[in-house]
Amino acid sequence: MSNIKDNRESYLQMFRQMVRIRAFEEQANQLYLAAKMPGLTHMYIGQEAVAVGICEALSSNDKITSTHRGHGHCVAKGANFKQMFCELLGKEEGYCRGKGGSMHIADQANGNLGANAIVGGSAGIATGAALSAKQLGSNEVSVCFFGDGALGQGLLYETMNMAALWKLPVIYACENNLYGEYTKVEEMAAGNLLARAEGFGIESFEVDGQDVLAVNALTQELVERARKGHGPFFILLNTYRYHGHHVGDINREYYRSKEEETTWKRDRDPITNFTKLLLEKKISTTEELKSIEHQIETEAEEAVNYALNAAWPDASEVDMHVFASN
Amino acid sequence: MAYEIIMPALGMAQETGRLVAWLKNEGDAVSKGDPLMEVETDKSTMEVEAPKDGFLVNITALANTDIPVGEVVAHIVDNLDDIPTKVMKKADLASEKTVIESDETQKQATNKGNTDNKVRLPRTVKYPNSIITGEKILASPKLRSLAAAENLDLKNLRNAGYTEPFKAADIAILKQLSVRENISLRRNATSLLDKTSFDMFLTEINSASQNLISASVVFASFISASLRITMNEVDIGINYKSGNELQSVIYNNPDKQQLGDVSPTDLEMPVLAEVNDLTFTDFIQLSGDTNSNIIFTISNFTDQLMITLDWDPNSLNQADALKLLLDVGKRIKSPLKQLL
Amino acid sequence: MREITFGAAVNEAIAEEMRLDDRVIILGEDVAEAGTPFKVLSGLVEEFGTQRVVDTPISEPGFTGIAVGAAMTGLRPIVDLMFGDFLFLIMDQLCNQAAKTHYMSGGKLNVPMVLRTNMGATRRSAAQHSQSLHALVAHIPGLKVAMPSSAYEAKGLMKTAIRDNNPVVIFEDKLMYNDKAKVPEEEYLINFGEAEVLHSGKDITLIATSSMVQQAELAAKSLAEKNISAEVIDPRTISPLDETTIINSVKKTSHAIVIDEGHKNFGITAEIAARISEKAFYYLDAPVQRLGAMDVPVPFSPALEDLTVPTAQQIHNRAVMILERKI
Repeated sequence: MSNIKDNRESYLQMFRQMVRIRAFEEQANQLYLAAKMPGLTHMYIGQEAVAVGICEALSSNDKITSTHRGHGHCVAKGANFKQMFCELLGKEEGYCRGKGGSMHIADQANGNLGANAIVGGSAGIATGAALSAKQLGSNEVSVCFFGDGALGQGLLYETMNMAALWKLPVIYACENNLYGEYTKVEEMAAGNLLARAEGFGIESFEVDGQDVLAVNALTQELVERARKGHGPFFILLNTYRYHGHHVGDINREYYRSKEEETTWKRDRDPITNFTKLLLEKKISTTEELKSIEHQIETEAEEAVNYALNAAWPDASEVDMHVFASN
Repeated sequence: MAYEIIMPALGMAQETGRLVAWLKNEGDAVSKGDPLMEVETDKSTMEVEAPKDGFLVNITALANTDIPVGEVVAHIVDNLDDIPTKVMKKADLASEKTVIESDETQKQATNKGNTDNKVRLPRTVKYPNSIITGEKILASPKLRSLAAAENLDLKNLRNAGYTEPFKAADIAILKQLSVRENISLRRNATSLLDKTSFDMFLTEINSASQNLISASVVFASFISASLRITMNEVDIGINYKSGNELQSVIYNNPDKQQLGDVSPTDLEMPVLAEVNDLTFTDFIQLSGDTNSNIIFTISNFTDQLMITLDWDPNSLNQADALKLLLDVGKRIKSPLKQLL
Repeated sequence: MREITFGAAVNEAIAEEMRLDDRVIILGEDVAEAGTPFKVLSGLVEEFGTQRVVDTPISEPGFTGIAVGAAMTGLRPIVDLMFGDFLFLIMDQLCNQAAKTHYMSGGKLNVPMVLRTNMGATRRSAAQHSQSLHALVAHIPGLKVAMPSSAYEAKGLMKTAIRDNNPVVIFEDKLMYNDKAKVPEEEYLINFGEAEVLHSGKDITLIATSSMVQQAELAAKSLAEKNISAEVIDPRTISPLDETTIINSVKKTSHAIVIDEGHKNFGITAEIAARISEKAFYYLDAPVQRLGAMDVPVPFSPALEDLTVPTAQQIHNRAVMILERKI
């Protein structure tokens, strides 16, 4: 039995989602460069296959927690452009009514428990969601997205320890994009990255994060096992972010060479390579793929314009939602 | 030659320092660098050292008190023969700080064992910690509210020698002081006027008018006009009390209206003069029921009108007061002239 | 009415709520068989099992974070933080995650969790096991803070906390677990934001929290012998704070002393004194007084530790000084 989603629709869906993420991010980047975006944001471009490969293996009720680099996860889990752009611009129609912004964007209806501005800060939340799932017998799994930088946070190890002790249905997905902010991962994480989780007795896997099919296949398998109570699991996904740490990190040569960036973009681009595969296997045609891309770009543009013109939250909202009603 | 030891400025924007303890006694020989006193700022406690050799004399600041920065607290002299005259501050005489037992225990836990040299004071005093800070009178908000409600001046307490800060319980004393002041300071003058012309005038204008014009309204109007001329005021409010029970109404610039149109106002406005119209009663005099600057009393005296002006000399000088009374008198004696 | 200990009252409250709602679970160190070092949770694991009374590793940030996630996804966890001093370990999960999730999500995600921890010195546990840190969390928008002052409050406030859809931190004075008080058998809740006036008076208002309420009561008795009539108020929760009761009382008496076992500087006493000064200023006949723990790390030595906390005697003396115009 093949675990790879091998029907045309699901392949096209994965293609679509990756293109959506890239289109969204490119618009977001433009907003920053045109000085139309309040605050900063963190681009996911280059890592699309990770979010899409994993989220396509999850159902809407499965939970994810995200990071400060969270637009990709948000789109991949089913969010729509309009509400996302509205949130980035702090408008009322945003997913969080403008109160969270890029770093705290959450889409509760689709199981996205939120991006987190604290590195590794959501490890507890994802693990707690798995505890709920187990306790309530809901059969759901949760995925904790984090970067190689979070491997420095104690919280991650504390929660992996407990997840392992209690066999919680959580998948720890480490997106190793080789840099934590402006520092190489080798300078921040000692020893073997996989051995960390293995030390807790957690089954750990490494996969090429730029290969959406590989990511998806692995995730499907682990999700099924987690639902049966064989979790937790740890996946190390090797990937690369094309842009800087945040949108303002433009002159990067002091920590990253232009050559390295060029190589990844040219040889390891997830969308380019998946396109090649789709065409080779005759799953789709250039026209169809281009048409999808074009449609998505238009959608993104329209969504941005919509958000730019959307209303700000009313001043009276500033002290609403501090407490939930009882 | 006496060298001044002052309370140093130890922090930014700091106006006082707390003298925690003296580490030397009056008359002690000190060497340059010896710690003389312990002072506490908002941040920490530190020792102030002797700037030169000599004898420590004229200690004028007390331990456990707040001293303004820059104030002289002692002197260092070369020899004990030429000690400059000590200037005792009023604060020293009138005030002492009672030592709080529990705070004391707490301090002992953290102190470095300087208890021998601490200056202890007897605990008999009524209002310790009192300081006179120039213009500002120190009083609790509660007392201020009580005093303001009755228009009483806190300065009276200070002038009478009571020590600040004043508190709510002092309201009784303040009231007494204020009453005494009012009585001694006010002046009054009385004139007797023939009222024949006034009575005739009143009858005539009423026959010509549709509305009833009372004597009160005319009096108020005349008084207002006289006030306008004498005091040069623009807005004249008059609190007019009349009838058997001296009911009060406020007239607003009555002289600026037609007599038939004058009626009381219900605007809240400042009142320039009070009028006690006793003509409906058998009384000829009434004083002391208000602290207003200008009070007119109108009464019947046999077949004449008696007008008394009672005034506060702080607000009106005698010449102006008499001018005012004369002017009112002229209008009442020859009312027709007013209409022209 | 029966009298039970503070510890028993907490136990009853939690057990009752766990029976009423399957979603209530407990996470913490030594909460199961051991029932915590203070034995407050004894018997719960026997009744509810290890799935609902969960012993965790010594990973405070970890299990607090897990509780936050569990609360966001359908459970109602009670986190047991063994000593209030460990708050510093969990500040990110409590103050950055739990406190802000509802707000940052525009009202879409809730965190119905209870953090149960303790406070109070004079147990000879030294500086890192004796702190009263409630002011730190009261300062954070999105957190509610309750401070039961006796077994009666302990039960009522705990039940309300478990039913509240927000993160609630409850501070119990660790020296009170064996103190008894009258606790009704019938179910009752104590609403947050409602202070209790234990003792009506007209000369001075004493506002006290947690174990300081007992000290204030003792002071009120000794003051009564000097014909000084003190009104004692227990806010019960400091966030939300029942300002109205406090302000009305001070407007009546014109004098106030606030007593709290947190450090005096930058804490609860400062906040309450400031509010009194804002809203009852013109009624005050003397500055509002504050008695807090001394601003030093808690010393180990018995000769020193007891000097650092406010006592009934100190309250008494301060009240006398105010009313005798020495302040």
